[in-house]
Amino acid sequence: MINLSRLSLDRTPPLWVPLQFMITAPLFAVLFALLMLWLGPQTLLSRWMPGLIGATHVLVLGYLAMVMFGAMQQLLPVVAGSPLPRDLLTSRVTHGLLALGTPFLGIGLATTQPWAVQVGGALVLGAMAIFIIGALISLWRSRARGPTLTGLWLAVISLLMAMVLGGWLASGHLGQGWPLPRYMTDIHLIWAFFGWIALLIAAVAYQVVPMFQMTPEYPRLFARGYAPLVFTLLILLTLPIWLPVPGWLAPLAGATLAAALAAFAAITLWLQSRRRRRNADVTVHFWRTGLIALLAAIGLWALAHLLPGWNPRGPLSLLPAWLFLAGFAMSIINGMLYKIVPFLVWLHLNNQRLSTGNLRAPIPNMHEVIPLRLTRWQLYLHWLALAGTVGALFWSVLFTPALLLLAASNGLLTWNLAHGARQFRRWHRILTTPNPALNANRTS
Amino acid sequence: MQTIQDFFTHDHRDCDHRLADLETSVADKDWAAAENACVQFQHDLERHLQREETLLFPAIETFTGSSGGPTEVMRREHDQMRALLADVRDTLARQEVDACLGNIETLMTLIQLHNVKEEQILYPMADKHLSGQRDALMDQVRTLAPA
Repeated sequence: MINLSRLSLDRTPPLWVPLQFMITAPLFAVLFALLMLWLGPQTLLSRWMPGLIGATHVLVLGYLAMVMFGAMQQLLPVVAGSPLPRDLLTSRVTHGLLALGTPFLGIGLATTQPWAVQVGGALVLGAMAIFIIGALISLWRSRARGPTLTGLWLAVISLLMAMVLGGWLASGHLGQGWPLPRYMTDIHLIWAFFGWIALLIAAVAYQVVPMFQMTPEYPRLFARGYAPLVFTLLILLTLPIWLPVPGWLAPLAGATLAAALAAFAAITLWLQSRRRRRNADVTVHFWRTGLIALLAAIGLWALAHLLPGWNPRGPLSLLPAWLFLAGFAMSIINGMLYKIVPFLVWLHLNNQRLSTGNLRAPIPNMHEVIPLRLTRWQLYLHWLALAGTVGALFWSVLFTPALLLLAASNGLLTWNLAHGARQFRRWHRILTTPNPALNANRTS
Repeated sequence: MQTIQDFFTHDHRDCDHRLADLETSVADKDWAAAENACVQFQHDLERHLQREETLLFPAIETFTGSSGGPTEVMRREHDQMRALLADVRDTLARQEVDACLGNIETLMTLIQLHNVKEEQILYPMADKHLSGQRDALMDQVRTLAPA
């Protein structure tokens, strides 16, 4: 007899657990746009401008980390068969700490207010620590194996690295007197971008790309090797903090990392070109946009390193990072939200229907949870915002309209997701209200 | 000899492709093709579900000790698929494109998430614990005709 007490295939957390993260997240993208508008175009002059550093943290923590925390709470019971320990409490606490800490930290960094950085930093570190410990326990308990699980492990450990380095940098800025070499900021950034964000997206892609678009599977060797390779390269790039390493190591590791990320994008685009489902819904467009943006980001990064004398300064130097964050990560997350939220609303209504025994009661299907027309409008706004913000790095006259578009796109995303939540409440009420017609039948 | 994981995973993909074909025909409003695709999908899906319910799950339950637990969850999800397929059939018969596509999308998502659980967790577990009786079991599985 084997012990199955920890194998829980139907531990779907209540709808509010993932949904609170997902509905809040786009609001932080709106906050990012408003903060940038307030700071003005001169914030884009260099990546070391406090305003830019602060605003970036609002976007990365408030939007990306926020959605990813929510998605992982839904994902772990499915792909690992193992929910986060004390999942309801963990969810409430991490959401509260992250939602409260992010504006303090971001605005504190932007306006160089040490007290706000201290308060926000402590709250965000708390949220991160609780989430990371919970996710590691859940992964440790899982019986599942395979590329997705490996990717999740390495993504969570990368987040831990990014968090520790971020905490170190923040306390250095707060006057702890610790050394703050600029190289360390780069290391903080590569663990967050290429470890946490890119590996988590890849781990999820191994599952969802073949699954939702009915493409062939990722090549086995690539799926197995990609995350461990990226993780090893990140370690090699981190070594110079402590060890004297030969000068050629970092450029070589950097180039290999770029090639690996490009391979991920190219393979995924190739798989999608061979998809069995011919209907191209908004999620497919969001994925394509994200992968092309990733290729563009890597191409620009490579150009800057390969062409001597072509070293963009000022706003243009931000282009690869912006393409990675807004073009790649935000596009793919945005597209996935339009699959996750409608399905979860349907799933919970269906469970409600089963529990009342009224199996044939009508409930909305996935396309009826969020009107498809509104998701298409939001895709167009996202495209315009992306093109506009990229353009604004060339021509500052686009700065204000582009950020307004970004705010509008994410405002509409919140509206659409909240519409899904409203649909849930409405149909839940209908399902739980005693039906007079049904009761009449029963009594007659 | 083929593993449980390989056989059933392959069976999943076959059913997926049938459903994708159905979706394409409905989107094209090719109702005759859609009707055919639906019959084909229903046959393949039902055969897969019964292969699990009548052969694989009982074998798994010999080492998990009860019919409760993971196989019970899987059976419940099978019934949800059958109910959704009935919705697909209803909307297909009424030639309601949008409603039918919405139901197909929902069914597809339900099936995919169900497949992940089986492929990541249940099948590897079955291969590990049923190695002694696997060949005999798989012979039965291959020849099953859906009731």
